[in-house]
Amino acid sequence: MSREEQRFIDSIGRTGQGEADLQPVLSALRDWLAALAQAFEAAPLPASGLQSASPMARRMAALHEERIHQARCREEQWIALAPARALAQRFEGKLMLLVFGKFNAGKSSLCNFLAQRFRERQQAVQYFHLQDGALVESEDPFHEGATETTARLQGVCLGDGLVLLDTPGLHSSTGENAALTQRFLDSADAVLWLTSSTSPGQVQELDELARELRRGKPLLPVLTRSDVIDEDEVDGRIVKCLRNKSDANRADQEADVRARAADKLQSLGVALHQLKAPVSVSAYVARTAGADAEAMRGAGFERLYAALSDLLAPALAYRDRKPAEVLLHHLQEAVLAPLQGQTLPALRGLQQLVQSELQALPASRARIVQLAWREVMPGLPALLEQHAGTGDVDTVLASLQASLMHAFERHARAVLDSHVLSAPAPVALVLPAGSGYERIADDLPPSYEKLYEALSQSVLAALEQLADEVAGHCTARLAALSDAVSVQRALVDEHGRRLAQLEDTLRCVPEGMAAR
Amino acid sequence: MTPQHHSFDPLASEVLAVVPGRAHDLARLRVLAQVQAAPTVTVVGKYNHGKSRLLNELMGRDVFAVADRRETVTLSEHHHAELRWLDAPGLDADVALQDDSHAQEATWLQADVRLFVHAAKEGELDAAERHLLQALREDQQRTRRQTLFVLTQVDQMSDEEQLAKVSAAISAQAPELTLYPVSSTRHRSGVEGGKSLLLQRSGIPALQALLRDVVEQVPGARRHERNLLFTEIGQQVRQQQAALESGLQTLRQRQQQQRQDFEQGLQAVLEKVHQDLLPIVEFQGDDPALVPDTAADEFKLTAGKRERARIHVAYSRACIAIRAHLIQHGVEGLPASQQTSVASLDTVMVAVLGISIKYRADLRRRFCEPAGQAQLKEAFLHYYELSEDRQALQQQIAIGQAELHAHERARQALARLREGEGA
Repeated sequence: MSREEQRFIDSIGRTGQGEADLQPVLSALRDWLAALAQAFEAAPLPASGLQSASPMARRMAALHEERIHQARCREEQWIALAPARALAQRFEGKLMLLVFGKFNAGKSSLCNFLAQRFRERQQAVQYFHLQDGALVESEDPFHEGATETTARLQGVCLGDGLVLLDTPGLHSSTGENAALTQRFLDSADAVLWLTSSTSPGQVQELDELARELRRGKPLLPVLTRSDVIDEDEVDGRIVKCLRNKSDANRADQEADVRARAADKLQSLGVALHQLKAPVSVSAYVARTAGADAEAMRGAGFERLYAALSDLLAPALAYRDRKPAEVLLHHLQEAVLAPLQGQTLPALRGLQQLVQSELQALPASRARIVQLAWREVMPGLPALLEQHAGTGDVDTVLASLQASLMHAFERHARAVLDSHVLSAPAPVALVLPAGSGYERIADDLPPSYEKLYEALSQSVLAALEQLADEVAGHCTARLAALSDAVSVQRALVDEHGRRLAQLEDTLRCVPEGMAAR
Repeated sequence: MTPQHHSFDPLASEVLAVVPGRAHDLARLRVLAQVQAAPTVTVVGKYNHGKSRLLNELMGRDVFAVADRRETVTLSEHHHAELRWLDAPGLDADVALQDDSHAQEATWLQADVRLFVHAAKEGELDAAERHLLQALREDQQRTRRQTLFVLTQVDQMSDEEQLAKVSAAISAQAPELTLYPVSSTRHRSGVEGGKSLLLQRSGIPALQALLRDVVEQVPGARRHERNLLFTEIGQQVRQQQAALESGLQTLRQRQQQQRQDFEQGLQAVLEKVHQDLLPIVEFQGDDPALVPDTAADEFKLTAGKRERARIHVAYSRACIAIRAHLIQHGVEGLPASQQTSVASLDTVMVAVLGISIKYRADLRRRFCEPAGQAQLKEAFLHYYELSEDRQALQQQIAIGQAELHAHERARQALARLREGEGA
C-alpha cells in the first residue's frame, strides 16, 4: 500500500468531535425568526378604500395569499424533512464528501474503486441508496458504464468515519426527493467536483453547487478518466494500448480547470481559498494495471489521497458547526428567500402602481371636472327658459344642483375606478346677492344673461370643490398605502442584513476550531 | 463591410423599423445576398470534443489550433477547397460570455452546413447538446440547412462493443439522428504511416464524400431559405399593415361621426336661434332702437331703450343657446396659440361673434340670412377642429398614418431586396 493512501485511511479513523458551543448562535437564529413574524404583524398594509377588482387591490390580495402560502410551505418543508433528519443522524459525526459531477464524469467508477481500496485494507464498506424515502443498505457497488445515469441518491460508508455521497443532478430530482437530496447536501462537509478529462472544467455545472460553496465548504476538482488509448495498425489489425495521460498533459488540463473554476467561484461570490488544486486520476488505468503502488501513483491516486488529506481540516470545521448551518439554511431557503424572491418584487410592483396612480391623480381630477361640466351645462339654457315665466331662481338652483351632484358622482366613479368612493357631501350652489332674472319691462321677456354667468361660475366652483375633496381623499389613502409598503420593504431588507450578520458570526467560528 | 452592403443595409433598416423581431432573419438574408460566396461549413459542439482536429483532417492541413483543453474561443475561419470552414467556440456558456455571441454568429448566421461534434468517450448527450440538436433539426426542417452528427474520437473506445453501446444510447436519445463515427487520430496515423486500415476505419474519407454531396445541395437550399425568409417577413409586414389600416379606419369613422354630430347639433341650434330672432329682426317702420336718448331721458324707459333691451335679451339668449352646444362638444376655450392675456376674452364665442351685437340689421345679417349663417357655421367648425379632443384624435390618426407609411416603405424595400438589390 502506498504512503498517502495509508495516511488518509488512518486519519479518517481519528476525526473526533468539535467542542464549540453552538447554543448562542442557535438561539440567535430562532430569535431572528420570531422577530420577523412580529415585525410583519405590527405593520400590515391598509387594505380598505380600493375596489377589489383594481390592479392595486389584486396585488395586495396576491401578496396576502403569497405570505400564507410561504408560511404553509415552511411548515410543510419542516415536517417533510423530519424523516430525513432522522436518517441523517445515522451519519452524525462522520465526514461526508459530496461526489458531484455530470452523469458521464465517472462518479460511480471512482466511488467503487475507493471502496475496493478500503475493503482491501480490512475497512468496513457499506453501500446504501434512497428508496421510497427510506435508506436501504446494499452489497452491490454502483452501476458503471458509458451510459450510467444515476436517478437515485446513493452513497457508500467507508470505514468508521467517511461517507461518499452520490446524488443525481441536483435540479433534476423533484418533490419529496428534492427535499431529501437537499437535506443530504446540508450534511456534506466537502465537495469533490468530478469533471471528465475529455471535456474538463465545464464550470457552469458549479452553478448547482453555489449554495453549498457559499457555506464555506472546500471544493476539490478531480479530473477523471485521465487516460488515453493509443492505436496502431499491426499486421492488418488495429492494436490498442491504454495509458495515463502524460504529466505535462495533466498539468496543462489542471491549470486550465483551476483558472476557470477560480473565475467561476469569483462570479458566484465564493472565497477562492475554498478551491483546492485540481488532481487528475484514471481509475480505469489503475484497475487495469493491477493497482499496485506504482500503478496507483501513475494513475494519480497518490496525489488524490494527499489532496483528500488536506481537505480534512476545512471539512471537519464545517462538520462541527453543522447543526447551526442546517437551521440557518432553513431560515435562508424557506423564510428569507421567498421574502426576497417573491414578496419583495411584489411589494416593489405594488409601490410602482401606487406611485403612478398618485401621479395620475391631478389629471384624473381635471378630467372629472371637465366631464361633469360638459354634462351639466348644456341643460342650463332650457332650465332657465323653463322658469323664466315665474322667475323662480331657487327652483333653478335646486334642479341644477341635483344634476350637478349626479353628474359629478357618476364621472368620479368612472374615472377613479380603482377607489371605493363614498357619496360626495352635497355642495351648495351660491349666487352673488341680487342675482336673478332681470325684467326691464313687463311686456319684455326677462333677461338671464347675468344669471347664466353667475350660475356658470357657481357650477364650476362647486365642481372644483367636489373634485378637490375626492382627490384629497384618494391622495391621502394612496400615500398611506405607499408608506406601509415602504415599511414592509425595509423590514425585509433589515432582516436580510441581520441574517447575513448571523451567517458571518457563524462562519467565523471554524477558524478558531480549525486551530485546535 | 463589403461594398454591396452599402445598398443592402439602408433597405434592410427600412424593413427592420417595422419588424424589429426579424433582425436575425435580415442578418441571414444579408449573408445570403452574396450569392457567389463559398458554402460555409461550421463545426459546433462542446470544447475538447475534437472540433479543430476534425477540421484539420477534413481539409488535410493543420490550420486550426489543437490542444487537450479548452482552446477554441474565437471564431476561426479558413477557406479551402471552395468551402469556408468555421470553427465555432465551445457550446458551453462560460464566465466569458462573448464566446456565446461568436457561437451564435457561426452556427446560426454564417452556416450553410453544420457538423455537430460529440466525443464517443463522453457517452450520452447532455441537456445542452440535446437542446442545440433539437434547435438545429427544427432549423433544418425550416431552412433546409443540414446538420451532420459526427461521433468523434471513436479510437478512445476500448472496443467495438463499447462503441456500439454508446451509439445505441445516443440513437435512443435522438432516434432521427444518423451517426457518422470518425477518428481524426486514426486518419492522421493512417495518412502519415500509409496504413490503409486506420485510414478506412477513421471514417474521414466517408465523411468527406458525404460532405461533398451535402455541399452540392447548398445552392438549392440557399434559394429555398432566401424565398422562405422573404415570404415570411413579407407576410408579417402585410399582416401588421392590415391591422394598422383597420385601426386607422376605426379612428377615421369616429372622427367623421363626431364631426357629423357636432354639425347637426350646430345646425339645429342656429335654426332655433334664427326662428327665435325672426320677430325681432322683422321690425317694420322706423326703428325706435336707432333713436338715441337725450340727457333728459336718463331715468325714463324710452321707446328706444325698450327696443334696445328687447334686442339685447334676444341676442344674449341666442348666445347662451349656442354656447351650450359648444360646451357639450368641448369647444369652449381658444387654442393656446390664440390666447390673449385676458381670460374672459379667450372664448370661441368672443372670437366668432365679438363682444356684442347691437343692431337689428346686424342680427339679421348674422343669424337670419344664409350668408351669415354659413359664415357662423364655418367659423364654429374651424374652432371645433382646433379643440383639444379633436386635436388629440387627429394626432392619433397622424401617428397611424405615419406607421402605415413606414410599412409601405418597408414593403417596397423588401421587394427591392428580393429582386436582388444590395446583392
